Amino acid sequence: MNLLEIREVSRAFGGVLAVDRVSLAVAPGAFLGLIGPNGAGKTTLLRLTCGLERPDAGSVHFAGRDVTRLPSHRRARAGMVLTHQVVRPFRDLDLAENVLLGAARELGQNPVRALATFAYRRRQEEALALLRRVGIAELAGRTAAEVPLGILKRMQIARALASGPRLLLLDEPLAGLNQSEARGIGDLLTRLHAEGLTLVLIEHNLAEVLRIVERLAVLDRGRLLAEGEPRAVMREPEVRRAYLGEAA
Amino acid sequence: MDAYLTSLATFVAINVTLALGLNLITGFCGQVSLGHAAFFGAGAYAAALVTTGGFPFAHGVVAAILAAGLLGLVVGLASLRVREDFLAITTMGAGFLFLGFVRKQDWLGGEFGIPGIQPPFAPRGMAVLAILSAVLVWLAGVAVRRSWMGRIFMAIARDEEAASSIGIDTARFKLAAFLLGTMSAGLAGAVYAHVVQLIVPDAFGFVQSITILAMVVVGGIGSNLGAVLGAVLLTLLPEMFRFVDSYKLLVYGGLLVLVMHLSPDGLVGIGRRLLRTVRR
Amino acid sequence: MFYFELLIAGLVQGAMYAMMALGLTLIYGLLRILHIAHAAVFTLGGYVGVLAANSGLPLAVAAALAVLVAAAAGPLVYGTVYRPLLDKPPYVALIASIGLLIAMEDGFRLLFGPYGLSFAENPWFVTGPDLGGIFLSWVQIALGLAALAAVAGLGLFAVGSRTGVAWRATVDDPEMARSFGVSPERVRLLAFALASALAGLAGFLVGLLNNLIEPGMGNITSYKGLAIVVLGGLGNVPGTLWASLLLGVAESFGSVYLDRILDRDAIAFFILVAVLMWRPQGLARGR
Repeated sequence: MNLLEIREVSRAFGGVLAVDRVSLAVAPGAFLGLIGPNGAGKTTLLRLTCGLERPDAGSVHFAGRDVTRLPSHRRARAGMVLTHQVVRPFRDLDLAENVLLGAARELGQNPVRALATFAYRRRQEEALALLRRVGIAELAGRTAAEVPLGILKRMQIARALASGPRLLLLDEPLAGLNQSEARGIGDLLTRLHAEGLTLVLIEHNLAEVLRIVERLAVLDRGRLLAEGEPRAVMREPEVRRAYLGEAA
Repeated sequence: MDAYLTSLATFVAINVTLALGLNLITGFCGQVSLGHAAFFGAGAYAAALVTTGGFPFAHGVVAAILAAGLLGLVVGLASLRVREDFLAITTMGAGFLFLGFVRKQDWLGGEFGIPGIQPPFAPRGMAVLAILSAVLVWLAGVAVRRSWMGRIFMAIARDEEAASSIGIDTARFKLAAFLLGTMSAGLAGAVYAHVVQLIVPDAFGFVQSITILAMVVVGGIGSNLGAVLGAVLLTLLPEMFRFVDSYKLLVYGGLLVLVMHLSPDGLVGIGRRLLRTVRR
Repeated sequence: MFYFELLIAGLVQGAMYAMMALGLTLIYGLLRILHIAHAAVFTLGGYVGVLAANSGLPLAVAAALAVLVAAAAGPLVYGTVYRPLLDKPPYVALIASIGLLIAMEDGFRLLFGPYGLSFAENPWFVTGPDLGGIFLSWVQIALGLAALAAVAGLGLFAVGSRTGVAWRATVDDPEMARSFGVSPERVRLLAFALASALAGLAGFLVGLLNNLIEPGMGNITSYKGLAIVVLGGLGNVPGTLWASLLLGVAESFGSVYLDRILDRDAIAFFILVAVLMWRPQGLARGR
């Protein structure tokens, strides 16, 4: 059974069709890259998948369950977590606390419980473990405002991992990073994938994407152009036209 | 002189209660509310109706807290619907609606309000009651801040979408903030009604809502201590300026502008900065 | 006939709201500031006008003075009060605006007394054309025309002129606007000047209408103006006009029929809350 199924999903904004009857299936343990020229609808598709937007038509299924009507925090609870393109940490909080908030889980659902819960020592250890997993444990005490983007991206991934997701959606995780930082994140994602996590990412950094993903899907002007093995997809004439046509 | 001080202490305590409650909603959880006086009023009217109807004061207090909380829940639900930008105006609108409704209801005394409210204690006793209420709400404020609720409120105040996408049910928490904040306003209302013994709609209008917000902001938004300081300062200020009584609003207004320019994070902000330079 | 009179009264009131709300929506659209102190500029216009008229100047000159002084006061307020606070959280500017309003209102009270001023000679107040049985004072007509002219002017300005296009650009993308040589700062100053000019004129006309200028006259209108800004849609000039007129008429009829239930002033907010519950983005066409 597929972990994620997007069926004939469409969304328009003020007359412009951002996503046009797209269907995608992601098997458990897959590593899918979603690429396409600017404005192709990639981010919209991701937002539709995780629940920040509702589709005008079509449905989203996660682990066999129709989640189209489910709000994003419930989908997060069910195991589908999104990391945003622009890292949005809670700036005055330190990295460990940023991650902790991601670990809130049942506390984030229940205000009464949240009010009654004070201790966070145990949780702090959890947070440190997550930061270790992404390789930045030694920076745990720094505030989010103090650290560079590459570190924030790792923290963002740690935060997403806090709730123990089955599917991680990443919106341009490499945006704004230099060559070596991007490579580092790419390696991290590869490692996480090897540990069993299912990953779907949007990226413009083609070189890095081709290096790490197992499958590739191409979107252009809201429509799915091609999907399959990365190199084969890149050879398809429609895909080349979409990219070269844009570059020209 | 003694009676004057007692009365002053009582009003300071009532304002502290109000400011602490608003701080929960606006300071901790980031939901700008320009209608807080309406909940104060709801509590005052509920308590007044209960006790002038012959029931004991304790029943009045419970009624006040419930009435204010219920109204708070309604406004909170409304606040969930609107965008951030509109929240301030919506809460302002809710405040005017409440007042406009109350003014027209004969059973609530209309324009003339409800007179003849019997205080359960002598003035000293009422002062103690007011102070106890303030302490209670302060304790609640500290509990919120130290607990996970406070952390989650802060996350929502910082970035609601990010909070939602990491699994926080922002709607429930915003409602919780409204509930806690407005219930404490209701408590303050019950005490107030029995201190002044006559309540009129004008005491719960937009100007009062703004005054409470000013207390929170001048003291330092998001800080319990700030709310206390702001309430104390802004309650005492008109009294301190007795000798320039005719200019007091001018001074008060000018002070608000000045504080916003010099230290937007309020008195607590100044304090923190001072501490930091002293430590160095 | 009775209904028609209510309608006219409502439209006149709506015209007055429009003049306040248009300015507020300009400012809110540009700066996301709830310019509560706009009420003070309204009142300022009234005072300048009545003082000028009572010192012997013709009404038209008094009106012009009211507009000019108000138009100067607006950018001054922006520069001294708001500009330093632009990078702070929104409630900071809000509190400052409130403080300014309180201070100015008290200032008016101290300078001109708490009971207000009246026009020594107010020919426009009682005379007016008889339009087939409907009696309209010149002031009411002037208000209506002024509002229409303001809207038309603003509309043309926003769509037609270079500055108008620039204004819209600074709302959507300030960086882009700057790179085209448009100065967001000048746009803001101009916006404040325009908005305040409208408010000053409105204050003068309302003072004529009621034959009273008093320190707190702008308050409730300013608050309702904010509600109208939301209803009409941010920066949406025609939307704001419709919302203003609608509100004026709703108040006119509502104060008669809803008299048992709601205060007149609360009607505006009832409509606001009701509309927002139905359409959280306001009456504007989806954005």
